[in-house]
Amino acid sequence: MHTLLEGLKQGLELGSIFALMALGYSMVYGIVKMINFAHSEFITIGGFLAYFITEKLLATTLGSSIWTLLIALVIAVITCVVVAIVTERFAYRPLRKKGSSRITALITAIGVSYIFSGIMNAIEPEQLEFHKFVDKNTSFYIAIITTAVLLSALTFFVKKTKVGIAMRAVSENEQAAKLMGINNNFIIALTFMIGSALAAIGVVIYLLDGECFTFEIGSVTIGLYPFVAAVIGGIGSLPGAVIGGFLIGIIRAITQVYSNIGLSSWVDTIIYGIFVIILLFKPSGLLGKDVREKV
Amino acid sequence: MKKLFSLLVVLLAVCSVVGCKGNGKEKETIKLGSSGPLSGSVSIYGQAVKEGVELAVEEINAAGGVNVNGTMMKLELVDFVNDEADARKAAAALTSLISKDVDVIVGAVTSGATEGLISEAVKHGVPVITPTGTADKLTVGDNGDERDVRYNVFRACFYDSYQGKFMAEYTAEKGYTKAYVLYNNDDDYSKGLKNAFVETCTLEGVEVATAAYSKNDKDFNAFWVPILEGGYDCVYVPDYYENVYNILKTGYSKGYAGVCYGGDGWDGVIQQVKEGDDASFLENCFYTNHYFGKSENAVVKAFVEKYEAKYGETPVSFAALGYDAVYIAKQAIEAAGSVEYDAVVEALTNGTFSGLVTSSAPFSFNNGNPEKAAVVITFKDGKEVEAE
Repeated sequence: MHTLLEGLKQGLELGSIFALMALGYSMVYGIVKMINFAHSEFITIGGFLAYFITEKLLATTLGSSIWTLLIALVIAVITCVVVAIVTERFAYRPLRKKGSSRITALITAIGVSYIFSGIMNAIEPEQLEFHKFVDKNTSFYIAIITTAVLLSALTFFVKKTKVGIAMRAVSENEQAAKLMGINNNFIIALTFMIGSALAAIGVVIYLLDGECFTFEIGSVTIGLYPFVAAVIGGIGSLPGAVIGGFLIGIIRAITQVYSNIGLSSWVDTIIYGIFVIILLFKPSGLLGKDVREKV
Repeated sequence: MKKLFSLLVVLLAVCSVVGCKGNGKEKETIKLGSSGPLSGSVSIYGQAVKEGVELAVEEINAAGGVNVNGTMMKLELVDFVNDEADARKAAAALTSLISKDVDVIVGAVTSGATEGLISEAVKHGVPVITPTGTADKLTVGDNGDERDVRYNVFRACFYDSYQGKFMAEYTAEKGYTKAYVLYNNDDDYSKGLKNAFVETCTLEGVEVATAAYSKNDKDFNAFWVPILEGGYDCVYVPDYYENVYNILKTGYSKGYAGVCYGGDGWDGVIQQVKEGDDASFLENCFYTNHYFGKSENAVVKAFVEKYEAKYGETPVSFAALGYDAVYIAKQAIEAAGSVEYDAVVEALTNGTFSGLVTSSAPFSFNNGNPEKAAVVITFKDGKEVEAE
């Protein structure tokens, strides 16, 4: 019983982190109908920045106080946002302008991902240990509360503010939105900003209980799980991304907590199995809109 | 025009024949070839072996060289190829080294890469002494029946099932009745050690449970839950130092109070500890290694001194093994009195080797494996010490 509870607790913590990252995938897809594979590298960049800033500040009078963490977090978020905007502006927008096919955009995203990954690898190929700001118990509450707050803020933003409504308009019909006088490029850039900011916050929450990580944290350690979560929940749907994130987080934690009966070797089989089953019955994901599209 | 052309052809033919005659005459040096990971997550191993090998070559040449049937010949490390711990790259490295006329291969470093190198090496019969490839199958194949194919493959280190078996016997000796193995399911080295450990534990009457993680796992909190729930106080973690440090740190911070055991992949764990961090949990951890750098043994001390003088740091066991592999090659060539592949292989198969850093007693090879013992290392006050 205790094992199961521990598993659920871990799962909720991991799930909330996956949810924050899945939102990035979902939002960007909803707006530009493109999977931003470079999102995994935004995660890595956020983690690296937070790490390096923390290490620098630990040596100063701020020590290991909450200010160090907050400053590191803010700088990580700002950097991620800048990287996201630059990527969107120089790698994705030119393709959109030219009217390139979706495949081209996809491959470009993969290419950008590899470029960033290579840079991160060159900077630090070895394992790093993030400073332990809090213990595992506290980090659980931080994860849950932060995610709840951010989700509420995001929902309010998307439903009630003008910019948020504009975002929903662009994701529903780009042409019509333009006719309404919405600056599409600005909205798209904003979406990337929000997505990457959430990713940076997510990775810092993951790391702050003293986790060890490498330059592969976004692409391999956290990996495709947030993306799978976004698709399971219905790509383009924000609540869906969150549900998907928690689902995957809990499955992972439960299989690991029962690793002594061999369940941990099945984690990917189970997750992708559920992925396939859900898509078989509901191709647009759990909460996705059933829009038939011609490719 | 035609006459000029045929004259040129004849000239070329004569030149190439004369050139051919030139080859295979007096060899200037004994050529060594090597490969190992010089970049990537286990580059610390490749670097260490390279430094050990280069030190040995330098030392031997300074002392006059190798006595090949009366003639003193110098050693030459033709190339240390960066195989990035990848089997295919190591196989390509072997081919390129053969084309450079090597006499002995001192490589590769990681088991996976060595397996790739061997797949090419058996086609040539070149003597291969891997300093640090510990996987069982390297010398005898997957089912243990390929010694006649891999007759030219030897290793300077002990092999994985020996390590796993050794630690299982140690576990039983220390009085543990149950043990838990947390291993990396995506790594041959980890699985090899785990299999040997489990097998011997069962023989010794120690109850053993196992749990696997994958190469992508970095968060081990959940994996420790069944260990703590099950009340285990002996955990075997046969993986490399990066993951091991992460696993140990996580476990002890969750309140684990037992011992942890490991294999030679742990070498480097102590360097993972951040300055100022409390690493006292390591005092409950023990691992098998090839040698202990602070030993009072004269051969070890001399090696450590020379290594520190040349590189400014204490040698890890991989460096000692690289160094020893070269000396084994030297002793084999001297015993054979020649650098011919078959003669050297024969000397390796039947000879006795002594005065090595990683083995105080003389030893010989059995199926390519050296019959030598392991050292158990633990930690005290942030430094490694030999365990009782």
